[in-house]
Amino acid sequence: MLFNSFVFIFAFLPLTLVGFFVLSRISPGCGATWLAFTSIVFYGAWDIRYVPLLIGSAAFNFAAAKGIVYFVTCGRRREIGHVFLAVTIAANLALLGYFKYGGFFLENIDHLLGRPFADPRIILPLGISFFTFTQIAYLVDAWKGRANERNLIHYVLFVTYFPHLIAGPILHHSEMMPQFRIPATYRFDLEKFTTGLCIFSIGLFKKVVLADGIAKFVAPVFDSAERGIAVSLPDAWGGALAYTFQLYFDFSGYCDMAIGLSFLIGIALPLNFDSPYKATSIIAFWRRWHMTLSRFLRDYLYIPLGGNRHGSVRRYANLFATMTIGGLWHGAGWTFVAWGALHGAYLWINHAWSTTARTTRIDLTSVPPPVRSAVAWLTTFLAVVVGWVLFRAHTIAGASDVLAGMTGLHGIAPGLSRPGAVWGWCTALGAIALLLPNTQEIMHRHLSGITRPTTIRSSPLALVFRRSVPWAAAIATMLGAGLIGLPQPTSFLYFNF
Amino acid sequence: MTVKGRDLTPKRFITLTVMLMLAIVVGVCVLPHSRHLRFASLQEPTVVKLGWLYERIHDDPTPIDIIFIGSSHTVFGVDSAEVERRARLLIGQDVHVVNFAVQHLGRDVPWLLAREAIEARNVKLLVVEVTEDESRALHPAFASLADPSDLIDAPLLINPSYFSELAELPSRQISLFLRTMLPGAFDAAPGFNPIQYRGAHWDDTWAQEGSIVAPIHPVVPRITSPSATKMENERVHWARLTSNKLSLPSSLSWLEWRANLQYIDRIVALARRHGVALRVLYLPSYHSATHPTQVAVYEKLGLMWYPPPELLADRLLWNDVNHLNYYGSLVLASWLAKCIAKEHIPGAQLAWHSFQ
Repeated sequence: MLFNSFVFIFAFLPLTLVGFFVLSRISPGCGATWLAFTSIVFYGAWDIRYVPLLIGSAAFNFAAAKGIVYFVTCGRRREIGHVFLAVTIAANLALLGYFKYGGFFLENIDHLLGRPFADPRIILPLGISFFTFTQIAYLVDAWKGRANERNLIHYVLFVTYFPHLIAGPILHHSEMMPQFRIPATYRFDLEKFTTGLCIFSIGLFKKVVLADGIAKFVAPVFDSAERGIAVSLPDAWGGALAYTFQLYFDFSGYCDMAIGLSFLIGIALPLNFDSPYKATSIIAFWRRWHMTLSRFLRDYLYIPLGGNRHGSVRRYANLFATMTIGGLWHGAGWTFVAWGALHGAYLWINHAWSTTARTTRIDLTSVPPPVRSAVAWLTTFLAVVVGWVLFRAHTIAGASDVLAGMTGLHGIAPGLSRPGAVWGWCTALGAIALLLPNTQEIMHRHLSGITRPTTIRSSPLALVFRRSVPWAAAIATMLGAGLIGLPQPTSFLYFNF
Repeated sequence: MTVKGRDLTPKRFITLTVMLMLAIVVGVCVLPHSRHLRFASLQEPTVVKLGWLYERIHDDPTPIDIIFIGSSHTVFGVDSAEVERRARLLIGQDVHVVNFAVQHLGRDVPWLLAREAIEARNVKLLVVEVTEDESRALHPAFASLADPSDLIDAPLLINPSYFSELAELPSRQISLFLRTMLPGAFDAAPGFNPIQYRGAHWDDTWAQEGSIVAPIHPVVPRITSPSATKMENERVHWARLTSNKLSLPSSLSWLEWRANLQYIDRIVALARRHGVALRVLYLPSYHSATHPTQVAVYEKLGLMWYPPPELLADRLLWNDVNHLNYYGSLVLASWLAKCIAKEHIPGAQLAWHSFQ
C-alpha cells in the first residue's frame, strides 16, 4: 500500500486514526495495540507472506534484547552478553544477507563459474533494511544498558510503525519508546493534526507533482545507456540532473509524508532531510541527506570501527569502509558499492583538504566569501550528481556510458525528444531545492517534540507557516495537486532499498 | 479571517483548507479542452479507433445512415464498406454504414458513441450487438472518454469502478486542458488533419488496424481458421469459463447485469428520442447458444437479427472461438445487407420501421 494511493488516504488512514483515538480512550494499551495491528496490516497489504518474517524478527529481537540485558546485568556474565549480542546481530545480518544479498551473491558466483550455479530469484521483503537496522541499534543499546523495553506491544509498534516501516526514517528507540509511554500521545491533538496534515500535503506534492513529474526524463537516458546507445552531453546531463532532483523530491517527499502521518497520530518522527543540495561540502551533504542513516552509520559502524580515535590513516580507512558498506546497504549491486566507495573517497578528500588548509594555513581570505561559497557549492553539487549516476545505473557499464556522455565524449547534439522540457523541469526543481526553505524550516514553529538531528533554521525567505488564509490556500493547492495526481501512483524510489 | 495578525484556530484552518482543496479539484474538473483530443488521446490498440470515430462523426461530411455498436465481435465481424456496398445494390439507393464497435465488453462506451453520432448526425438505423450473456463489467475506456457529467451520472449499482473513474477525472481534465492549450509542448495533435484521415470506413475484418502514432506490427491478415481440435478445445474452455462464473441468486439476478442493462435502456431512450430505428444483432461465439440468455430483455428493445446457423457453426469462417475471420465477415456482410434491405421502407428517403 502506497502513501500516495486512494486506498491508503481514503480508507486505511481514516480507519487507523479513528480506531486509534477511539481505542485509546479505553486505554493507551488498546490504542498502541491497534496501531501495531494496523501497521502489520499495512505491511501485509504488500505481500502477506512476509508478515511472519516481520513479526518473527520483532519477537526474536525483543527476546534477544531481554537475554542480553539479563547477561549484562548479571555482573560476571557480561562476556556472555557480548557473545549473545554478536550472535543476535549476526542472525539479523544473516536474514538481511539472505534476502537482500543472496541473489547478488549467487549471480556473482554464476559470473565467476561461467554457468548457472543456483536460481538467484529471491524476493526482497519490503523495508527489511529499515527494520533490521532499527533493531540492531536496539540490541547494541540493550548491551550498553541504554535500552530495556518491557512492553512487547510498544516494541512491536516501534519496529512495525507504518509511517516509517517501508522506507524510513530509521528510528531510534530513544526517540520512540518515550512517546509510546506518555498518555498525551493517545489523546487527539488538533494542533498536531493540523501540522501533520500540512506536512503530509507538502510531501504528497513533492512526490506526486515534482518527483513523478520529472521522472519521465530519467529512464530514457539511463535505459539508452544500458542498451549501449551513446548518450550525448546535453542528454546525459539532463538525465543525471533530472534523477538528482527526482531522488531528492521522491525520498524527502516520502519522509515528509511519513512525518506528517505520524503527526496526525501525535507521534513525532526524526527529520531525515535538511536541504542537502544547499551543502557546500560533502561532509555537510551527509549531515543533510538521509540524516537518520548517517546517524546510524556513525553511531553503529564508524565509531565501533574506531572512528577518528586511532590516527588519520585509520580514520580515513574507517570512513571509506563505512561509506562503502552504506552504499551496499542501499542495494545489492556493484553500482551501489561503487557509489558508496566514491562518497568514501569524497569524504577522504574533504577531510584531507580541511586538515591541509588548517595545518598549512592556506590563505583564502583574498577570495570573496560569495565566490568561495559558490565554488564550494558547485564542487559539492557536481560530485553528488556524478555519484547519483552510479546510484541510478543498473550496471557499471551503463553508468560509465552516462558519465562519458556528461564529459562530451558522445557528442553534443541532443538525441532525445523535448530537451527544452527536461531543462525547464530541472531549472524549476533546482530553484525549489536551492532557493526555497525546506519543510521543517517552513513549519519550524509547529514542530514541537520532533527530534532534531540538526538545528532547524528559520525560513530564510520569511516563508514561515502560519494558520492563515494564504497558507490554507497554499496547503489546499498542494493537497489538491497531490490528490489529482493519485490515479497514476508510482512507487517510492527508496522502497527498493 | 485572520484577525489582528492572529492565527486561525486549527479547526477553522482545516475546514478552510479542505474547502479550498475541494474547490480546486472541482475547478479542475470543469477546465475546457478539445473533445477531439480526448477521443484521439486513446492510443491503446484496442481503442485506437476512437479518434477516427470522432473525426468520422464531426469532420467527415459523408452521411451516416446506419451504425453498428458493440464489442470485438462486431469490430472483427462487420465490414461496414462491404455491408454498405451490398445494401446499396439491394436497396437501389445510397446508404452509408459505419462500424462504431470497439473492443472490450461494456455498454457505456457504445452508448457514448451512439449518442455522439445520433446527436450530431442524421442516423436512421442503430444496430446493437448482443452476445450470449450480458457482461457485468463496464468498458475500461469510459473514464477516458466520458464527459464529467456522464461519470457522475454513471450507474452506482453494481459498478466497482464508479469511484475510481471519478477519481481519475481531475487528472484527465488537467492533462487534456494543458495539451489543448500547449499542443506543441505535449506532442498533441492540434485537431483534424485531412491528410491523415483514414476515410469513411475503418475496417478491422481483414487485419486489425493501428494508428499513425501506434501502428500495429506485424500486420496479420485474419484469413486463417484454427484446426478443428484447437477450435473445439477453445470452445470447451470458453464454455467452462462461462459456466464457472459465480452468479447471484436468481432473486438478485436483476442486480447482476444492472449497470450494463441501464446503458442499454439509455441507448433505447436515445434512439427513440431521435426517431432512430433500432435492431438487435445476435453475434455470439462459434457454435454457441442459438439465443442469448437475456433474450426476453433484448426482444423488448427492437427486432432481433439472428445470423444463419451455418455461419455460427462453420469453423472455416472463424478466426478464433469469439471472432469471425475475413471470410466470415463477408458472409455476415451479405446477410446483414439482406436484413437491412428487407426491412427498409421503400420510398425516396432512407427509413426503417421503428419497433415498439
